[in-house]
Amino acid sequence: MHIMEGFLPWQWCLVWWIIAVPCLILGVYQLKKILASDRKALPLLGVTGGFIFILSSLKLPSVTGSCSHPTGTGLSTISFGPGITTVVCAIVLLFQSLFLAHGGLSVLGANIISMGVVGPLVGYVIYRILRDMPVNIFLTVFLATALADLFTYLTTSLQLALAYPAETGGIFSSFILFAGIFAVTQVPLAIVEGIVLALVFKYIIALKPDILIRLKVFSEETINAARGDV
Amino acid sequence: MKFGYSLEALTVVAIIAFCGIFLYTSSAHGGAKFAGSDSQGSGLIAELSGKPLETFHPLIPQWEPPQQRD
Repeated sequence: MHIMEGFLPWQWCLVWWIIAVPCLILGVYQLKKILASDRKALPLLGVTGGFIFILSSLKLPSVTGSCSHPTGTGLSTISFGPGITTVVCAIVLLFQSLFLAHGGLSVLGANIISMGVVGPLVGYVIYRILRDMPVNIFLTVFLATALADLFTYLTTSLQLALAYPAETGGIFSSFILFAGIFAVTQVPLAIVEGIVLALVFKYIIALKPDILIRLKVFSEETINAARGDV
Repeated sequence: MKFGYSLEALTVVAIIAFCGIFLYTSSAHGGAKFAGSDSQGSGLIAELSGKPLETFHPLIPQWEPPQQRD
């Protein structure tokens, strides 16, 4: 999904960097705030970063020849919110562009927006809506994770379509072309990622539910109800 | 134990499906330089921009792992 170095015109690189920087500043502010109030959140934060790095490095050639991979942003989004996820993603994307040639420095802003801002934001909205409804906790995690993953790819498709509109049909036609390339492998990948994260949450709830209660991810009643389920 | 180990079973099926997709797509693109190469996506960019693929170069020089070099 990462846009490769050199594949966006410099003007678009600049635009996405300008949009990404305020999101990063907000994320750093939120990160400092949560670490000042709860140092015990640090290990989980480290785990979320590792989770994103590993999952987003599993590049899969899609059947149409492009490249897809899970994003791994669901755990961080649900546990810490989209702002902090932006910072974690930016660090992951920086390392991947420097050491794996996955993405690049000029397109880092665009990749931060797709994987670190839009995807997590959509996942967080889904999680917040479903959290306060009588919906199973694991279904909430699954939907938030899977949709965060899918919207990351839709954003990448839009970024490419804006930079390379088709001669006939313009941006929309181009967007459909790019989204079509990703969709074949990305839809099953999003489902797999959602299921895996639901299982991760099952074990967090079973073994360390206090973390989720302390971070106010789910209420104690919801956690206890889920513990009864698991 | 309302759900038992159904989530674990579902995860195993999902991971097997992931491996299946990986093996299928990797073998379908045997000519790719590395797993996950972006031949179709970058080909489409070249087509839409009207510029040959060879003219796309990194804006900022980038280190590449050995298996990705020509």
